[in-house]
Amino acid sequence: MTTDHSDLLQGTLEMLVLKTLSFEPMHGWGIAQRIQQMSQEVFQVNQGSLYPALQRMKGKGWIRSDWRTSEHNRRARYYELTAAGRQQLATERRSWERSSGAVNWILNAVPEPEVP
Amino acid sequence: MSAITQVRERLRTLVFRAREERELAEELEFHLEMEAASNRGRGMSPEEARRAAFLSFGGVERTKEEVRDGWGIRVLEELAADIRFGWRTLRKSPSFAWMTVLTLALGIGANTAMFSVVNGVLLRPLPFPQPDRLLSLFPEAAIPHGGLEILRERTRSYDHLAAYGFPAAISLTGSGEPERLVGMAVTPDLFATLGVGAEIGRPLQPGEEGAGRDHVVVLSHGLWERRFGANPAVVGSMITLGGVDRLVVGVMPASFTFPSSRVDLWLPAPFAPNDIGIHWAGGWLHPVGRLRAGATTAQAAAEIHLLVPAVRNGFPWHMPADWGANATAIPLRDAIVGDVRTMLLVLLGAVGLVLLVACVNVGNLLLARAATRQREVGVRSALGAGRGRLVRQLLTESLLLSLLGAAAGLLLARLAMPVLTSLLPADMPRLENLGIDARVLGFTLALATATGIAFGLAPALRAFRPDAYGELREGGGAGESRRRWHLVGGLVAAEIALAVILVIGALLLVQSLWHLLEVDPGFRKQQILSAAVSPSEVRYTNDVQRAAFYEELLRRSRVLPGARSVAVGSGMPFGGGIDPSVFLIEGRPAPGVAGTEWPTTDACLTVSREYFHTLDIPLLRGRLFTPADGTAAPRVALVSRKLAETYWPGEDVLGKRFRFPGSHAPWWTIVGVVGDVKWNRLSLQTNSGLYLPLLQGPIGAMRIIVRSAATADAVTASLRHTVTAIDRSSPVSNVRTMEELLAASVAQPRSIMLLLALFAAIGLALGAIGIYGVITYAVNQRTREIGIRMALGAQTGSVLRLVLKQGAALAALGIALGLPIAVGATRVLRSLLFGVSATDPLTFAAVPLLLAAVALLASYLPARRASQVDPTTAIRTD
Repeated sequence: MTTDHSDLLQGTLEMLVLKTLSFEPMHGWGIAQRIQQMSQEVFQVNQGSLYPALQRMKGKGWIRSDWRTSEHNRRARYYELTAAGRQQLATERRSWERSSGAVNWILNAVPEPEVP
Repeated sequence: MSAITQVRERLRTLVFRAREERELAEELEFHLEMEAASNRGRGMSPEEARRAAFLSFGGVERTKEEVRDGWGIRVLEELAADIRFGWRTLRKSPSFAWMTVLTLALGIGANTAMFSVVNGVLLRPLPFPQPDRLLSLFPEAAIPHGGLEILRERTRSYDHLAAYGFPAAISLTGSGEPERLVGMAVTPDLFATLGVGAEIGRPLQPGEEGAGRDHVVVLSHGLWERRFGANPAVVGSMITLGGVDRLVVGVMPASFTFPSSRVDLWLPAPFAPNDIGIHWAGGWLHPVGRLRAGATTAQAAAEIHLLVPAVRNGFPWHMPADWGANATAIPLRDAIVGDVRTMLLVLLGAVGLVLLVACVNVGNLLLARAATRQREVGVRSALGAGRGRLVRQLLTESLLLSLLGAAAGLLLARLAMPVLTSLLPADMPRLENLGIDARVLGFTLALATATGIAFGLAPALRAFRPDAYGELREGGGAGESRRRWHLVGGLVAAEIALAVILVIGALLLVQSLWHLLEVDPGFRKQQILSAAVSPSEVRYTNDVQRAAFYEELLRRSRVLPGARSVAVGSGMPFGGGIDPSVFLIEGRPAPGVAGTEWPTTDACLTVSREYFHTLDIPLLRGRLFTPADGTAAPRVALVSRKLAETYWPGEDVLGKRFRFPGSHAPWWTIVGVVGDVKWNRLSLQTNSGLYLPLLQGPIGAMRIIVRSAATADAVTASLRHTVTAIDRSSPVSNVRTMEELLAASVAQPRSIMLLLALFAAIGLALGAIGIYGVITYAVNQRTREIGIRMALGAQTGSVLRLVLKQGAALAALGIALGLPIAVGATRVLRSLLFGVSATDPLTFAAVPLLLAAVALLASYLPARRASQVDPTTAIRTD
């Protein structure tokens, strides 16, 4: 009975991480850079808060990690999407679209004419 | 760093693995460096770049802390939640919880109790320092003192090599009632070899075996308390044992019971290298060695094998070529435990089967409950609970159940221990100080965990089918209920199979014991009472005096209450004093030439004239002893039929002569042949016997045998009175009826039979409950179908048949599964069976019938309920 949608921002960060990792396995710093780029610098990811989020997602089985050699020939921890993570991304995407669609619909609604 | 932070750091390194810490630090360092490098790329100075990296990161330590929080706490929190949730669900269905916990308590409790016996007897190390270095040599036999000396000279494997003899009765006289005690002759260095000291005073010391120095004795703690009121002053005083004054040098601690708790005192084994009789024939010993550092048991065993010829050739007379063929060295504990291993392991296996049956039952209960919880699981899974999370939740619940069951089982085991111990044979070694120690607790915990997972896993996995969401719809599909029925039915069939195995095993043992007790031992079993009467060694110093003592005893005993016949004998069937003896036959080549062996009788007894009449041993030929066979008359003897047929086949044995070894031994003339009897074991062939008359044969401590219709208590009291009237310092001990002696001889088969029957009964009862529960469940599931059938005109009888058929099918499957397994399983019983084969066809035919009957009875109750269903209500249910 775990619902982690209490904190919208946290949930959003997780979704963005999942999206980032859906392209290729990446280390923490790379994920932060990629999110910043993709969101056209709108989201300023607090880099520190990324790591607890990664740990949580690992705990849920959405991502797994292993040590690899980075592009600069250094040892770095790389994160990778699991099948469950891929599924989770799809789920989150659907629910995001649904709720953002709902918000849009509300925002664009016109007042109904009053019944005489 | 403040003290509190320090403590916290300590705790953290304890709780979290250092590796995770290292990796986290490395990961964050990598991040900061990458950030700094990127900053440098934008033209910052290295210091600036580093600082900016730290700033945008925002608190390395705080981040670490948050990451750490995710490491393990989550699992713990979930576990706590699961346990709370499980506890609540159990409290919501108390009858289910009670049923499960009680079933498990029974299964786990029985196993815990049985295992604590196995632990205490087979596993617990001997209470000596480095007990695994202690070996028993010649465990199957024993060697004379001379043989021990040869071993001591030749062996290289041991630091110490000592020996102990056989328990022997010895009279304690002097102050107070004379008493027969159990003495153990040991070489004085035994205590040093074992590594034990005395509680008070000192143990025996090397050198105390020599003549003149060997009048010393060490008391057991029990004897010291019982007989000497735990008075420390007894150490250093003299007591009279077997007519000899001995100095008490010490009292051993209560924990020292060597080799068994029956032993009251330890004496130096007679040591007289110049007396061939004592050195090579008297007081055989079991050697005990403490391995030298670096030596192994295997080496020691190999060495003994090599040394056997040296010992055999050391005898002053010719020994059979195969003497010592099975000599070896085994751990001392195994030698002391002896042959109870098979019995205990069989019982542990049986009780394990009972636990399996209990597990299956609980598994079924859980499955039935899982059916009612299917929707709960569906809802939770729809709300986003992960698969693993749900399995964990369900497993937590079953583990909670099994741990509760284990706790109740431990309690049950504690309560059952005295009962179990009383069911075990009294002469089983190391039965004292049985208890629940850390190993037993560990065993129970492991058992509980294994059972929790075993019976919890199936329902937990059942919770996951691809369409968990389907459960949100009202009611499960037909396919689902059929799948579940297969699983449940399979489990019940397995349960019946286990019950088949248990019941067949128990029934085989019951028959075995029955055959054993039906065996004709060759003598009268009823109304026989016997007691050891030992004439004081001080007043009766030779055979003539002792014979006179027994003649007087016999004369006075004719007036014992209800006495029909009274006799004395140096030994009696099942009452001790039975030792093999060798002899030479007149006119035959002396043994020892060309490998011929000595004629041997299983027992050579000195008996009074009435012995055969009292015990109802038939005279087959010739005559019995008469008053004329006195001290001065020609020496005469009786032989049993078997002895006559073995050594004088086809000859008339009457008038034949033999003598015992020794240069001036007189010739004995055989004057009669009597029936064979079984001396010690009902399960073995009848034995041979050789009897000498009271006034001519050697006389030591003898047993009086009374055939009387009066109660044993009345005879005993009167007998004690009679003996005291003749001599106050001659103890009467070991009073037993023949029934008691025979019962003691079958104590082991009896207790294994009783326990296995008990386990089989529990298994059968649990199996019946299982069938009942499953059929009830099936009937409930089919209530609507049954209602429709009845509405369409089905008769009560046909509904009854429908349900009974289901029960019968399960029983048939279970029996078909169980029989072949039972064929394999009962093979381990083969060594314990007597008069019945391990694959006795009658048993293998009867038990399936019994199980089928039980299964039908268990399904009859729900079937009858089903047949009385009111169609209108039934159709409306669901």
